[in-house]
Amino acid sequence: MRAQLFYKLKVLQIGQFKEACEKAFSAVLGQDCKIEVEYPRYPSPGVKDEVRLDAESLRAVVDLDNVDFTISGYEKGRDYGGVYLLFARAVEGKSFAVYASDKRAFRCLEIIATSLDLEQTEEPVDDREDLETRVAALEKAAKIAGNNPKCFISFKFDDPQTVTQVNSLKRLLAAVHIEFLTGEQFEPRRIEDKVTARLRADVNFLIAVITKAGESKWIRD
Amino acid sequence: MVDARSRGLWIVILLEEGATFDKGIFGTLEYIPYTAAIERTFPGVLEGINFIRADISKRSSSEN
Repeated sequence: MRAQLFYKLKVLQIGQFKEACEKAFSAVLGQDCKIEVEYPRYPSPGVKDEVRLDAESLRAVVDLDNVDFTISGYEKGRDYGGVYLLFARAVEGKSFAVYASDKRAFRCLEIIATSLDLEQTEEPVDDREDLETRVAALEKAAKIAGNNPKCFISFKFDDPQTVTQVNSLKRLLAAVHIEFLTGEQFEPRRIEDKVTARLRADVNFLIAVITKAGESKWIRD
Repeated sequence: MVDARSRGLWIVILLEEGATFDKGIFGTLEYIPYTAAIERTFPGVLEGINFIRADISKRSSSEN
């Protein structure tokens, strides 16, 4: 069992948070349990490390709007199989989140919440709005992608000058997100058959480049 | 081209100056003329693409 709960902000007395945590972990893991607190640090962009302190460091926690640490609790004599509670800011000035790693962690959280008289709140609306915005953007992008036409470029591909001109045209089409097909790839069949097959491949329009070197044989036909 | 026309495809013709094009049954089909630089046709090509996009969008919204 894992849980993530959100609580309204509250200003605490110095030491109040530490006492609540000690009370909770003692109740769940026993009187002699060990508590460690891990604080993430970001010394420079892209670099992250952690500082591990004992429960005494929780004495200074008074502003729940500014929480970013993980409390680990271990039964006496054990350094594994711990209970973890991760505290983090949810919405600045409104709420904070607590992640409980398992059932025992959830029991600790319940005791802490009761001791501190924390009021639970719903998952931040901001996140939902953000998700809705992202979904709408994806839908719009999918719609635009669906409306992107596909074209076939017809040209005399055995003429180097024409090929150079068509390469410029291809770059333009790519820049405006138009998919294109050409008849350049070799296939052991008649050009007309090859081109006809391409045109059946869900093409919306045809660009025929007719230069002085001549037009594609297919255009004439 | 007849094949393309019969499939209801739009046809955009870029015609270099000096090249000949037998319009045949496409007597009134518009084309974009250009001299040596094909880039001169790009505004016309983009206008054509906008027209095609708008038409595809209109069709898909009327289908929904």
